[in-house]
Amino acid sequence: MMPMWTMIAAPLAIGVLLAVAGGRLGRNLIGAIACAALLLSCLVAATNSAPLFADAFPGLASSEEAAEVERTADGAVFVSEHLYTWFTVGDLSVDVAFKLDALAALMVLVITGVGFLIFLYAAAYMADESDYGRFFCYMSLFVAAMLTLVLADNLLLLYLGWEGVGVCSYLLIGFWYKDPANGAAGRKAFIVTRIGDAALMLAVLMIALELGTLRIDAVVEAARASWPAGSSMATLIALLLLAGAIGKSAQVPLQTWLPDAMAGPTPVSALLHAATMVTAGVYLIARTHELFLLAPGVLALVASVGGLTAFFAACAALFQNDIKRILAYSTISQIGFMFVALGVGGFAAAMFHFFTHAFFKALLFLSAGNVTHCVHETDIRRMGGLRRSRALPGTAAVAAVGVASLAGLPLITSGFYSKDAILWATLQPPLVRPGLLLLLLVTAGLTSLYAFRWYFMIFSGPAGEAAQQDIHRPRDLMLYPLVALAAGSLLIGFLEMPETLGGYHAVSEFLHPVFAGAEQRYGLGAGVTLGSVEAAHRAELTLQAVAAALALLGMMMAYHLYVLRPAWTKRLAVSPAGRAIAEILRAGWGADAFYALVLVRPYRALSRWLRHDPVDDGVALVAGSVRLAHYLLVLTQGGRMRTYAASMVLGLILILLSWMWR
Amino acid sequence: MAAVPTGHVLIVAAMLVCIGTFGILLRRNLLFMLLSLEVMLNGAALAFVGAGARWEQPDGQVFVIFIMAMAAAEVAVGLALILQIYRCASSLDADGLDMLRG
Repeated sequence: MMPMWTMIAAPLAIGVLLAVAGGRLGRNLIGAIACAALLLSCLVAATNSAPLFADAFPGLASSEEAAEVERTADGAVFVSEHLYTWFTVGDLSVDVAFKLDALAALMVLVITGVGFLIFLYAAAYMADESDYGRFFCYMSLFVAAMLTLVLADNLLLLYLGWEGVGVCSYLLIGFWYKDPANGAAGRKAFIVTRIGDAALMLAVLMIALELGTLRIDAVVEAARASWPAGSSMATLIALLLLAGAIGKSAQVPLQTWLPDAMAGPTPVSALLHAATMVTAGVYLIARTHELFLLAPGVLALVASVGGLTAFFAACAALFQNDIKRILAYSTISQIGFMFVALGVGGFAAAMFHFFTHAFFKALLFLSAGNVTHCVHETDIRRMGGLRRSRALPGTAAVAAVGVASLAGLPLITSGFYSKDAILWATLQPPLVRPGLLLLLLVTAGLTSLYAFRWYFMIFSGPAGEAAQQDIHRPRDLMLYPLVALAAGSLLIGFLEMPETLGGYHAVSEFLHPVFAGAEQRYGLGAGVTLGSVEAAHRAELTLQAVAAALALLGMMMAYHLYVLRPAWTKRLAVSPAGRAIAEILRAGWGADAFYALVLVRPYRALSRWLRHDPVDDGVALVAGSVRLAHYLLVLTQGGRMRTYAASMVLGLILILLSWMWR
Repeated sequence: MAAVPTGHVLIVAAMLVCIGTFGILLRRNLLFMLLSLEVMLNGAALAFVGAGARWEQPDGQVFVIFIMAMAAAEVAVGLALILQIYRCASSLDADGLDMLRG
């Protein structure tokens, strides 16, 4: 079994190699070694997770393998690896050490697995790109940073990974740096997430000061020992952690960077801004869930932020016209779902949704990549009918799978099961949030509507302008990863079936050891008690039926609006009220304009003012008066002897007169 | 011999000084300005003589000798300078010579 650090070292080494010698290597070689490094990471992740699987599912493996694992106080299995001590300051010692528990294993497998598929896709998608080496350099470094974030044993190493992915995100959004708009989008992403990062750093420093340790396990234990539930310190730290998560996961109010981040190449959007990086906030909260449970108010805030974000972003997604911006708002909205699940104590449900979302959202982004690559168009209003073009039937088929999963079409898609798990979690005592459930149900309907709007406007209906022109086929390598992701989008759902549909809980059983301690202490996950098990089942079945009906309703509405009667929809859109609503929502509820008004413009005015050094003006006044005096005195030095003589005489006369009048 | 009153001597001396001063202020030719300077010196010398006679002291006449010697030296230097200026500027107009203005 290879040590865990090789998982990080492989992409890191490739990243460094490509940074140093990327220009001298051939394209095929670059793509091959980058993909190979990721495959290696994936295999290392799988072999290292094996003991965890063996523990969670005893039937799968022999008992000898389970012997070498360690266990936390709560009985959670984990594999740890101590590389070296990073630094020691006083009593605080920070190690470079990795810890792989079930939560990290799920993340790591998704990052490397989905990452590998996206790398394969990117190798073909970016083939015409001149900066091939630079692209894979950034991507490999991103994977290394993301794995560091997830595997980190202590908060400081986690923060290192957190900043690493931020930098890679910035570099990759601005990958086509020759267009200044892309650079601006990268800067925006970096600056907005930096607000969250600063909060996270404060949290890390305060934890180090207050608890004297940064090892996550030790922090959790010390926090539980020294802070009572609801104490101000726990609340403050949880708030700061939440702010960090909000920034990275593009939740309200820091959501504005993600739609603009679509300026990057499509594989970047799929890997960073859909599948992995933006879910770092979800991971952070799940990782430190004990701290959040110590601050019930903040945990409730997590759910509220998530619910609001899910709803707002879904509304905004409905009115976008850019093929990728729709998906970007959809990502924000889906992460909102995960936040709700975290906020009501459904940590496993949140991670399950992360799991399915990584697959179907990566699938959708890569499908969008195929469409834009072949059609050279990003505005979905000019598409339409692409399903019937001979170039894109495969893409249309897998995109349909992705859309169905995003919309949560019942029974066959993974999105249905993970969304259902979140909806059901909102009703689990003790953190029952019926209001949020209602909001999420509405959002689920909207999700289905905008998801199918996306699909129908691109692939169905009358052929648009973009479908008229010559469409070339995507490369084969741009289709195979999509098929794998589509298979995942369909099959992963069956890993976690609700009680009403067989009650098979592979994912939550796998994650259970991580959250079991907290669940026991706070009485989470006891299940809905409605008098009897049958009554609870009936309630869950009703909820599923409603969710399924909403998903189908959304699909039918989308079919009606965008396929059957597009003219009527267009009339609605140009009516004064329709146009006003559409414009506000297209601008993402005007968040950008609001921030421009409140923050950006005042800041710019201030910096313009400061550029002229107002403090210097005081000093300049002294210098100016001296200069003025100089000019006045120069006038007396006319260079004419007779003037001098006259002034001497005048002076003499004045002296004589003053003597006489004394 | 009737003594000339000291006041009269001083009035003449003051007139000489004033004539010299106005000459310097109003003339633009360096040569005439030098001449005016000599007139002023003579005014001062006359005042010394008058004062020496008034107090019956020899100092006044000694000073006049000094002033004459100094005036001779000054004229020698002044004329040399004027000659040099004329070579440089081809003119003796004092107002044209303002190369030292600030």
